[in-house]
Amino acid sequence: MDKPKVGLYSLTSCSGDILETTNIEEDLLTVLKWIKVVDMNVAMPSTGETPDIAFVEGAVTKDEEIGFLRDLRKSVKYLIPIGTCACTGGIIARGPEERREWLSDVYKEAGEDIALRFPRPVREFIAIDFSIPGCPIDKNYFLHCLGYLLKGVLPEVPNYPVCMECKMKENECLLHYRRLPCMGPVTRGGCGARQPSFGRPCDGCFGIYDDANVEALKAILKDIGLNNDEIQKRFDLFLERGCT
Amino acid sequence: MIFLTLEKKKLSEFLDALSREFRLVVPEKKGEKTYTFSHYSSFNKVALEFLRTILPPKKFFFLPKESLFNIGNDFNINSCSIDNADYILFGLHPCDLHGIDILDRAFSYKGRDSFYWQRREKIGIIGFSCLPDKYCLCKSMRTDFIESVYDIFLYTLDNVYMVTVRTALGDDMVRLKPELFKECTEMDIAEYKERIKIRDSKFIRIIDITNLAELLTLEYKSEIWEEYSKKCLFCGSCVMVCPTCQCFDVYDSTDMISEYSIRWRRWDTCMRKDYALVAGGHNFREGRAERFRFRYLHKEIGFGDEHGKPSCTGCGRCSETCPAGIDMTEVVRRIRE
Amino acid sequence: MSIIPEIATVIEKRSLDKTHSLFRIVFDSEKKRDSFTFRPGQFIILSIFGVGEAPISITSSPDEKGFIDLCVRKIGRLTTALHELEENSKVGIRGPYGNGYPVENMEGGNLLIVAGGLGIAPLRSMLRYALWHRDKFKQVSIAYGAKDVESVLFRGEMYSIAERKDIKCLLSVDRVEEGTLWKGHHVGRVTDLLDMIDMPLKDTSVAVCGPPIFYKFVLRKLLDLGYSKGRIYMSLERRMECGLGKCGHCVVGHKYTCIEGPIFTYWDAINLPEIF
Ligand SMILES: Cc1cc2nc3c(=O)[nH]c(=O)nc-3n(C[C@H](O)[C@H](O)[C@H](O)COP(=O)(O)OP(=O)(O)OC[C@H]3O[C@@H](n4cnc5c(N)ncnc54)[C@H](O)[C@@H]3O)c2cc1C
Ligand code: SF4
Ligand code: SF4
Ligand code: SF4
Ligand code: SF4
Ligand code: FES
Repeated sequence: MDKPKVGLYSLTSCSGDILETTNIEEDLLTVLKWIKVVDMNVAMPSTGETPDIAFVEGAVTKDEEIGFLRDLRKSVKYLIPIGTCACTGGIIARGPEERREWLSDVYKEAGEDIALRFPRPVREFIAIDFSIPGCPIDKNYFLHCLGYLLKGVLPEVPNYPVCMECKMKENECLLHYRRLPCMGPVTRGGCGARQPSFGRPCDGCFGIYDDANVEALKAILKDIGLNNDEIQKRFDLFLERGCT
Repeated sequence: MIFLTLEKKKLSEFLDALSREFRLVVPEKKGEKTYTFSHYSSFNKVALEFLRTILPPKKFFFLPKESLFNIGNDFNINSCSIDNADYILFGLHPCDLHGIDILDRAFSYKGRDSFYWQRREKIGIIGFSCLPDKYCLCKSMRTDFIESVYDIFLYTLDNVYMVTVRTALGDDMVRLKPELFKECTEMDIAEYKERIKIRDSKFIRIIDITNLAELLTLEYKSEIWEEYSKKCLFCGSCVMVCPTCQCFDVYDSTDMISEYSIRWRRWDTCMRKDYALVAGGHNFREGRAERFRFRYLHKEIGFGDEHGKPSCTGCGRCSETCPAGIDMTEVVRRIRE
Repeated sequence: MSIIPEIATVIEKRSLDKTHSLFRIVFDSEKKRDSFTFRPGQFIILSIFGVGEAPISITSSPDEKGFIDLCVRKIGRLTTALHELEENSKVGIRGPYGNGYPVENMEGGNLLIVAGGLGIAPLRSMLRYALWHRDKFKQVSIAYGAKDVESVLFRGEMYSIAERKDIKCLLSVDRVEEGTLWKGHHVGRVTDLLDMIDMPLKDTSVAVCGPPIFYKFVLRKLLDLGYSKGRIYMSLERRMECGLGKCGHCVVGHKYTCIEGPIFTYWDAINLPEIF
C-alpha cells in the first residue's frame, strides 16, 4: 500500500503548530515510515502531489485563503485544522473587529492596501473532518490523532474537560486551593493538563468543552476576586468568541 | 489477630525496614494544602499529619489510565504485563480501607476484573488512625471503623502506636523487625478505649443516612437537582478523587512509533455529557440536573441495591476538592429537609 | 469472562441495504469455535483494533455452529470501519454477554415476536431458534415492520418464512415507493399487524425490539390487547464499554443492562427508575 500523503498548510498564523509537528524530533523518522509529506510550506517545497490528509494551521483573514481552502477540500480525504487559530480563530481573533488603525500604525501607508478580514476559523468556510486544537498543538496529541487517520478512521473527540486529566495527574487544583483563574473546567481535554501540571492555570487553548458550564465558572472567578472585565478577558483569550 | 505496640519514635526504623523489602508507599505533601500517596524516600518526608490525599489509594490498582493489551499487524494479542505491583500502602485511614472494600466488591460483582485483581492481590495495607476535620463524614456513613482489608493497623496513642496484626502478610511485616514491637499492656488498652471516645466526639459534621435511599427516591423530582446543576461545573473532579468510583471508558489508539494498536481503559465519570450517549444521537442522561442527581443516586442507592450499603465512605474528598464548593453534606441535608 | 477479545475473521460480508450489512464471523481458534455457545438475545462486543469496540447482537441461532452472524447498521466510527473492511479481515470478538431471552420459560407456550427496523437483529436469533425447535413451541408468530421495502432486512428470508404453514409471519412497511415490489402483507403501522395476528393471551411470551418510538406504540398496543407485562420481553439499548458490569455506562436506574439485561420484562423495565 502506498503511504498516505500528508500536506501541512499555513494560513494567517505564527506557524507555531507546524513547527511543533517538526518537533517530534527523534520520532520523526519513524513517523515518516508511515506517511509521505508532500507539502509543508514552512519547511519544504511542495512535491506537487495531492495529499490524502491536509492539516491546516492559522485563521482565515484573506479572500484568497478561502479559495485555497475550497480547492483543498475538493481534493483531500481528510481536512483537519490544527492549532487554535485554525480551530476557533485564536489569539488573532481577539480585540476589536475594526483594525484599519492597527494596520496603518504598523505598516504605515502600505497598510491601506492590505485587505484583511476579521480572523475566522477554517470551519466557517468549509467542512472539516476533525480538529486538533492547542496553542500550540500538543505533539503527542497530534501523533495520537495521526494514528487513527492512518487506520482510516477519525479520532474520537476527547469530550471531557481538562480538569479530568488534571485530577488523573493528581495536581493540586489551582482554582480551588490557590485561587488562580484556571479555565480547565470549561476547556476541552486532550492536552494532558499541560499548564496546570506546571503550576500555571489553564488558558483554554483547546477551545470550549461542549458541556462547559460557563456561568458557573464565571461565578467562581468572581469569587476568587476577578472583576467582570478580567473575567471577560479570560474567556476572550481563547474560549468565547466564535466557539461557544 | 495480634495486638502489639510500637514506640512512636521507632516508626522510622519500621518504615525503613519495610522499604527495603517492599515497594513502600506513604503519604507525602503534594502542594501547599494537599497530600498524595507516593513512593517512600525518607522518613522526614512522610506526612503523618495528613487527613486525605488528592487521589485515593485506588490509583495503585485501578489505574487512571492503563493499557489492557496491544496488538500488532500479526494479530497476536500481547497482554500488558503487570509486574511491580507488590506495594505496601502505608497510612490508610478507615474511610480509605472501606473504599477499598467497596471497590473490591464492585470489581468482583458477577465476575472478577482480572486487571484490578492482578494488582490488588499483591498489595499489602497498613491502616493508620486519624482525627476528623470538617469534611469527614465517616461516622455518619458508618465507616469510621473497619476490621478487614488491612494487614496491620496503627492506632496512635500518646507514646506508642497500638498495632493490630490481622493477616499473615502483616505478621511478615512485623517480623522484619521484631525487636521494635512489644506486647500490648492493659494501660495501652485503656488508653486506646479512651482515644476512641475522644475521636468519636470530634466529628464536626453528622448527617443522618437512615432511609436516605428512600428519601432520594422520593425527591427524584426535587428542584434542588436543577439548582445544584447550575452551580456545578461538571468538571468531574469529584469522581476522579472518589475512592469508590469505578467507571471507566474503553478505547483504542495506534502508536505511530511501535505500530501497535493499544486498547486502553481510563477513568470516566457519569457527570460527563456523553457518558450515556449512543450512536445516532440518543442520550439517556442528557440533562445536567439528571447527571448531577445520578451521581448521588448511584452512591447512595445504586450500590446498596446489590451490596446493602452505600458506596460513599464519607472520606470528604469530593467536598474538599470541588472548585464550586458543592458539599455532599449540604446536598444530603437538603434532601432530608 | 475476559475483557480481552479473541481473534476472529469476517468470512463473509453481505449488504442488506444502504446502511446495513450482514457479517459472518468465525473464530480463528478452533477450540473457541467449538466451545462458543450463546442464547438468543445475547450480544458480543466486536473490536476493530486501533478503532475501538461496539456491542452487537448475535443474529444467527445458537444451533448454527461454527460461526456467528451479525447484522450491523453503519452509523458511527466503528460500524463505518466495519463496513469498510474486506472479507477475510481480522476482528476481535468477546462475549457472549447479557442475559438473553429466557427460552426455557418461553418453551411450551406460544411465541409472538414483534420487530421494528434493526430490532430484528436479536429477534432473528430467537426466531431461528424457534423454527429450529419448532416442536417446543405452540403457536409462533412474527410481526415485523420497517419504514420502506428496501429497509426490510432479510427480506428474502422473511418472504420464505411467510410461506410456511407452521408460523404466521406478517410484514409491514410504512410506505411503498413507486416501482418497488412489495410481497409483504401490509402498508401501514406494525401495530396493525398485531390486530391481524390472533394469538391467545394465555401462555404467550412476546419478544419485542425496535427503536424508541416503535416501543412506545407497540407496548401500548400489546397492553390494550391484554398481554401480561411480565411476559413481554424488551431488549434495552444502552451505551456499553465493558459488557462486564464494571464500567458503569449501561446502568439504568440501578441495573447493569449488560449483565442483568439487555432483555427485561416490561414489568421489570417500568420499575427501573430513569427508564422513560
Ligand atoms: C445490547 C446491544 C446490542 C446491539 N446490537 C446491535 C446490532 O445487532 N446491530 C447494530 O447495528 N447495532 C447494535 N447495537 C448498537 C451498536 O452498539 C451501536 O450502533 C454502536 O456501538 C455504534 O458504534 P460506532 O462506533 O459506530 O458509533 P459512534 O457513535 O461513533 O460511537 C461512539 C462510542 O459510543 C459507543 N456507542 C455508541 N452507540 C452505542 C450503543 N447503542 N450501545 C452501546 N455503545 C454505543 C461506542 O461503543 C463508541 O464507544 C447494539 C447495542 C447494544 C447495547
Ligand atoms: S487546576 Fe485547573 S484544570 Fe486542574 S482541576 Fe483545577 S480547575 Fe481543573
Ligand atoms: S467537583 Fe464539584 S463542580 Fe466539579 S463536577 Fe463535581 S460537584 Fe461539579
Ligand atoms: S462520594 Fe465523596 S465523600 Fe463519598 S467516598 Fe466519594 S469522595 Fe468520599
Ligand atoms: S458515581 Fe458516577 S462515576 Fe462514580 S461510580 Fe457511580 S456512576 Fe460511576
Ligand atoms: S457495559 Fe460496562 S457496566 Fe455494562
